[in-house]
Amino acid sequence: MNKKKSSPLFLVKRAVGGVIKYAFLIVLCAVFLMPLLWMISTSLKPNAGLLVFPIEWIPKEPMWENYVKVFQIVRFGTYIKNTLITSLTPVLGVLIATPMVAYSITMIPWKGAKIIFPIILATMMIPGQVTQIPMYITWSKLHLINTYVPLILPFFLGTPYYIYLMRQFMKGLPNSLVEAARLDGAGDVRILYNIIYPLCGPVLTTIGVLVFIGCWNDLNGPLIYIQSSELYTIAIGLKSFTLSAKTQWELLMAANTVFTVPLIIIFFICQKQFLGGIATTSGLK
Amino acid sequence: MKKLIALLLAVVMVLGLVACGPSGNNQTDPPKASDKQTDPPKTTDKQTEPPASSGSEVVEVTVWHQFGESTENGAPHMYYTQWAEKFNAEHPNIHVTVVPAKSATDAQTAIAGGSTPDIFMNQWNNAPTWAESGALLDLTPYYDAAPAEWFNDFVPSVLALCNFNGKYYSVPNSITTTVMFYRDDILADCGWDHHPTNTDELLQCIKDTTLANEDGSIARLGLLPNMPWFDTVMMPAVFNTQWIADDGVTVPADKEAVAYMFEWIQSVYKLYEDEFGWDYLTIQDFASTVSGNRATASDPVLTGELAMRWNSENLAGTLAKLAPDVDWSMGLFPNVTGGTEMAMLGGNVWEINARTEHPDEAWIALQSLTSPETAVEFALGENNNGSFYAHKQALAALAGDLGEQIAAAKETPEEGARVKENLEYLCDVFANVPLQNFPTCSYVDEYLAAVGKYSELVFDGTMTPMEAVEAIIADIQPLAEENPYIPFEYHEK
Amino acid sequence: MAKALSNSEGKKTTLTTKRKKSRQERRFFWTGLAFASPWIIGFILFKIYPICSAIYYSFTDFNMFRTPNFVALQNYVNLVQDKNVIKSLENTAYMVIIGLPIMLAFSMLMSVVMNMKAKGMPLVRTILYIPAVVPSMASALLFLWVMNSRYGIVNQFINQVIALIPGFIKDALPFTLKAPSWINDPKWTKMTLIIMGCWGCGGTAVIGLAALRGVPTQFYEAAELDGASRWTRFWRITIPMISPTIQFQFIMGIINTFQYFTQAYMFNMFTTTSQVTGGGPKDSLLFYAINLYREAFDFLHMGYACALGLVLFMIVLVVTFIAMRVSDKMVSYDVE
Repeated sequence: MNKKKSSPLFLVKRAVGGVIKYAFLIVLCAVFLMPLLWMISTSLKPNAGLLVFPIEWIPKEPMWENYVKVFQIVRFGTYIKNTLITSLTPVLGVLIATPMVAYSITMIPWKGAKIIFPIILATMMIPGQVTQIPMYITWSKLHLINTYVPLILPFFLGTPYYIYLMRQFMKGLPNSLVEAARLDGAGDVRILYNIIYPLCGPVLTTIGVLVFIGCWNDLNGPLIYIQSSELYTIAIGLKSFTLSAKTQWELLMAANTVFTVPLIIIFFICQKQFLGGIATTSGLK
Repeated sequence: MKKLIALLLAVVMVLGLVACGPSGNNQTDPPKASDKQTDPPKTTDKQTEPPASSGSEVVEVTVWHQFGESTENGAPHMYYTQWAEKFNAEHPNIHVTVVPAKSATDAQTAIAGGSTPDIFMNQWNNAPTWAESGALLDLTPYYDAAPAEWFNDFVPSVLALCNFNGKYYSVPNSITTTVMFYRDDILADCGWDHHPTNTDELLQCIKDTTLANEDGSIARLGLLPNMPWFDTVMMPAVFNTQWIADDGVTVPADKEAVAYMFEWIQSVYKLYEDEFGWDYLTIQDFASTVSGNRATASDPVLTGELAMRWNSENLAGTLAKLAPDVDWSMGLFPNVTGGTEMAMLGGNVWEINARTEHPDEAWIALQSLTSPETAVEFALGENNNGSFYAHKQALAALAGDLGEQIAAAKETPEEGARVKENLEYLCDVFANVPLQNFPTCSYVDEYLAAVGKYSELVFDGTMTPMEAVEAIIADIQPLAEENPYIPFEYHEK
Repeated sequence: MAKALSNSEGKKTTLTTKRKKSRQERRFFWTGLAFASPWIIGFILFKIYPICSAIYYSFTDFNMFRTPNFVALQNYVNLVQDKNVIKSLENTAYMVIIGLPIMLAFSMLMSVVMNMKAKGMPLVRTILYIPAVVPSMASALLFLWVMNSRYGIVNQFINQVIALIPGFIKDALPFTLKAPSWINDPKWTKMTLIIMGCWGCGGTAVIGLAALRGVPTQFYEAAELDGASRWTRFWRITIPMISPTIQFQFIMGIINTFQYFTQAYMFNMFTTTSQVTGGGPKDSLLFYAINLYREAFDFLHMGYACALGLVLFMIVLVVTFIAMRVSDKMVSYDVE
């Protein structure tokens, strides 16, 4: 044991540091928790305004029936099933395709790598608004409008943003590792899935979670490509509330809460994976 | 990681199996080799035969509307669905599908890239631009062939919204105007036993009803000068002027009148500044504080933060429901001193996609959707004191038996009485007050944007009213000269 | 795709030293191609046609619906003279030059906080991520409430701070101290959006967290034994180790900020009353992409909008190229 670490001065310093640390975290959490609390609080009020002051955080008589009403007038069952399809399948796609492409441009010394990467970056620089119509025409020519294919397939074809992210991570991995495996006669598929995947655990989980949440929240894609209400996702269902002639903020917020809470739970569960990542990475050397 | 992927794979497969059912059934089939060739989006010389049933094949017609998918009774979506069921039963060779929650922007991409939807709902201000661009089917031949009792039942002025350069591109759905909501009790406290009758009186009334807190902050405003469509659509009606002159080219019709109009609104801001020390920004801040509470229990009319409020008429129903006992009433915006009484006109419309494969069948469906009988039925829905259907019969029904029926169904007698009173008043306005709309020119959105942009600069004091008018002219006059505007003329059948 | 995978695996060959180089090169070429094939297929199928059409449309008067007419360089000529383009470029530049560094720094701070060791960290991490999960419409509405100049929490706090300042200091100042009007004052609206961006930075912060998690702990242990302070360890180990991720966030930040759209669109939708896409108070939120959207979808000048899009592409390309060149020197991929 280090002598310095048990001296009384050090203990006091550590205690003060701890208090400051927790105070900081609590304040920070309060700021970031506000949207959720506000959403829930508004959702429990009778015919709430958005800007009522002073704010009443805990409604006197919580209107739980707002939630009942939301479930009555919105077909959540259908929506949730549809949304799970449009948000889970892309996660699978992105976890398969993205590391492949990133592996190709970082770990394999071939001519194309130097050409492909700049093009990948460049495709992200063209504003989506100008390619929206031609994209729609393409899907329409393929007779895939009003299916989930336009929402899902792109993720199986490598998403530029995540390819770039994976590239940065893979470049940080020691090259010697791959070279050694190659000398041992390991094929690239094996290198990718047995060596690279475990090393990229945290970033892959992060990508998976981000893609899931992104697709869950995506409103634009479904609005453009889905044209029958049987295939609507939750995001469209939520938009329905703002389209109604009446201003029903409390129902909108109740629907928002139902929409958001699963995401928060999923994030909470998945972040253990971020932590799990350390062990594998530090076991590397 | 592997486990995670395996798990995901399993979940996705299960979901995929579950999903196969609905997604397979509801796919709109790609256009098969049909007898009708897909027309290029040419709208000018469309050949039209009188509506006739062609062959035995069932024709699919999709109708997109903008309301949310709600299963609540009385919700617009339910009305459209019920109409579609009835229509499908009566027309064995046409099958109508109603798709909810499709805004104009959603329709835009779909129309640009394909043949769905056949019929869709749109805002009036998009209609001219879209018609000019070839997105909309020219409905004039269908209008000409349609029965007189269908055509004559529309409120005449609302047909102006559907007409662009002498041709019909849309069919009216709803009709809206904007009215002034007065807190009569506050007005009475401030010495006003009647509503202001002209703009001079209104200014005085605003001054009298405005109230400051002890610390000098705003307790109550007489009127919020910045309101939707205040300057662009309503004010010319109040000030008896036009955005485009009768020659169809000069914008605006009368520079001085428009400048005076800006000046009047500015004088409201000046009043607040001089009498109470609230600058433009303070008023804007106040506006953003109350705007989120519109049509809720904390609506500024109900809380008394505003003595007078300029709003679309659909607020009336909500106010009657939320606070049947608060003393408020409606009236038209007071006219410019010495002018004539006018009200503004807006609304949304139905249109047919220029690329539709079945224009005739789409028209049959649309004519049924906009028939006087359908409108009377729809009038019972949740929109009964929101937007009004642009039909004489529907308005008459609302003012009469239907109004009684709606009023009787309300929760309290007070609420019912209020609703009935409002319905009668508004039906009277729609039927008897001349309604004026923003000209349906092809550059309508540019014009609206320019007026919005420069009027803001007048109100905050950056520009004088005349400078703003000149700036608007500089932006819009070239467009106006390129696209002369042909005013609409109404002829009963 | 599965076929491509098994093919490449079947290419296991023992290499003879003589033909080693050329054979290996060929092998690398085919495996490289196979692994990149998803992207290549996607690029050919879904990217080339839209991009080429956009380029073609930019030389036409395309209005979305009718067959376009060729107008040569007219759109580009108009673009140079367009007052809105200049205004929107100014606003966008503000976001890139001032907003982006603030948001990046804040998101990195969040990553570090998420990586702290304390009780209940899983919960803290989740909470810090919440604003990024809440549907953008709800968070925009809430933000308008938080930033409300009269009653918003932010201004209530600022007003209390101002009240604490002694009168003589206030009198000495050349301006009056006043809480800003975040939503209506054109001088502050962009800052409001930047703060909103910081608040919803969960997504980028989580990527940063993943990078921090990837730093092997032995490095810290070794440095601690050498007596390096916490600060030194952060600058000498953490920053270099996560520099590839920082570069990623920097480059992506540039690309995305130039196309800044959704938040501003939402913000304008709730604060202005016009039916036409707005540019916020006095056009202070008229960003390049907002102007482009308005031209394309409100005014139906799709050809012009495509020209705008391509000009933006060129600008971003140049800026990104420079940023890449500069930042490449500071990034170390070296693990040893």
